[in-house]
Amino acid sequence: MKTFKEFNNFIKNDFSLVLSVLEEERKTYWKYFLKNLVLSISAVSIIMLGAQDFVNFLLSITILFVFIFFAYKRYSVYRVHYKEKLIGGIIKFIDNSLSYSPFDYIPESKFLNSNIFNITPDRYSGSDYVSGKIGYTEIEFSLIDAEYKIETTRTDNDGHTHTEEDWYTIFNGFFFIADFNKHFSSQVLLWPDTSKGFLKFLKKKFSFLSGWQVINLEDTEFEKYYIAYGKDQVEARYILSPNLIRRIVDYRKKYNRKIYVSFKDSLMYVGISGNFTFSPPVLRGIKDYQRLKEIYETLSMVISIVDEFNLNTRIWSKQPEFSV
Amino acid sequence: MNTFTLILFALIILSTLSVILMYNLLVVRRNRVQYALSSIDAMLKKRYDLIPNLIKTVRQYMKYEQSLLTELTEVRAQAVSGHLHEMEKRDIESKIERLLRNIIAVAENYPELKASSNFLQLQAALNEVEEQLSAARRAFSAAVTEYNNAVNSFPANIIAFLFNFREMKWFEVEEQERQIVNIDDYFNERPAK
Repeated sequence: MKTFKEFNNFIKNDFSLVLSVLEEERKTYWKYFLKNLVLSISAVSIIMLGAQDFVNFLLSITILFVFIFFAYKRYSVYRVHYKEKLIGGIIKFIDNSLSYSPFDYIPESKFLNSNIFNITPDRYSGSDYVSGKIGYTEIEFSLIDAEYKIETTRTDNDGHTHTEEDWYTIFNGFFFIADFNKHFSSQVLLWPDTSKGFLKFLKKKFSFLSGWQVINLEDTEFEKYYIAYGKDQVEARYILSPNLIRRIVDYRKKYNRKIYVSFKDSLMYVGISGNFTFSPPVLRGIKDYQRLKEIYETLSMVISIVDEFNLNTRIWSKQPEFSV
Repeated sequence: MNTFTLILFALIILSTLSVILMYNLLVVRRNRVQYALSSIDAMLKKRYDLIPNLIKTVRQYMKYEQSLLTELTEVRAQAVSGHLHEMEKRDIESKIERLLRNIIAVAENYPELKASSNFLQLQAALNEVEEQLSAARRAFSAAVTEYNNAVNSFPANIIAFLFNFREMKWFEVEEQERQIVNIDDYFNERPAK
């Protein structure tokens, strides 16, 4: 992973032209937005000063819609440039072999295949898809927002029925998939759980109801943050070597977030919860160093999983050149 | 039916259910121990199967460590012959582990051997077996702990006593397994150039 010093140099030197071009585009967009907002409001005011009839009301609404439509269209162009040049540029700086698609995301089938979340989302979307190979390890990740709904039907006093929808988050954050460095055929799930004492004991006792076995690992600190579930006690321990367990605990402590981990089909799935966003600024300047540093830290947090979990160590039979 | 009979009846049902539950719990835990133990045996067999190939590959490169290879061949032959007591088996396993580690360490001195794809594949396969073996041993220890906890805790210990569930022993790491490989011992076998 690159150091902050290298990042600072990159921002000041190699990336300064990109930042200047984007800053110019932001200013142009902001001027365009303000100019057209003033024009639209003036036009609507003049119209409404005249006859306050339905035709004028319709005309005013149309003007406002046209303004919103063009403002959004222009913003979309600015957003594409921002993501491709700035976010894409920072990703390339972190690792040149990675590719970035601002509006793609991990497909729902892969998200469900992780077995981390057992609820099928009713609304599934995402963005900022990154893929490539770091060392020997193939990776892909993106932002994911998965939600499910609960419909409630109520009947009022007049006998009319109303259906209300309440949306709940299944997962919101980075969803990361990597080629794991060992072959395995069973499944392991590390479920974030910070409960203690009797409550944790009960959760473990009743895990058989979900079809999983609790894997009691030797690391007491790990047990503070997670409950490990598996389908095979031996293979689960083959996947979760003491070294990997320690690295997972260290990573969890370092970023202090809710981090889900699962292993299936010789792949490793990591879900990092949080409200991450790469939306372009409109009011704030592009060259805001604090914001650039945040973007770099966020992306590094995900991309560094390969190093943090030591996935490039290929001393077992699953090697890039051959397989036993 | 009076209240006393009802309570008595309920108590009998509850006691029977508890006995069944505790018995099943002990059986499940004992099965886990046996599964972990059979996994260890499977991994050991996998390790034994890799040894002939390893010896065949390294023999053509290692000129000065023939005694090491001969010793490994002999120990492996003893291991696969069967008819060994538990203690003898454990002794042989730790000898094999030590010899394998030494061969891999000594291989560092043979650049041609290190570059051989056959050796690299064998090394990776051996690493995998060792990791799987270590996982199986940890699973065994965890299973034995859970089983012994059940056997020794009240009231399951009554059921354990009645149905002959006996406490099991953990793996004890052999003193020689704890020792770091001393490559110099093998270098000393080589004649001075």
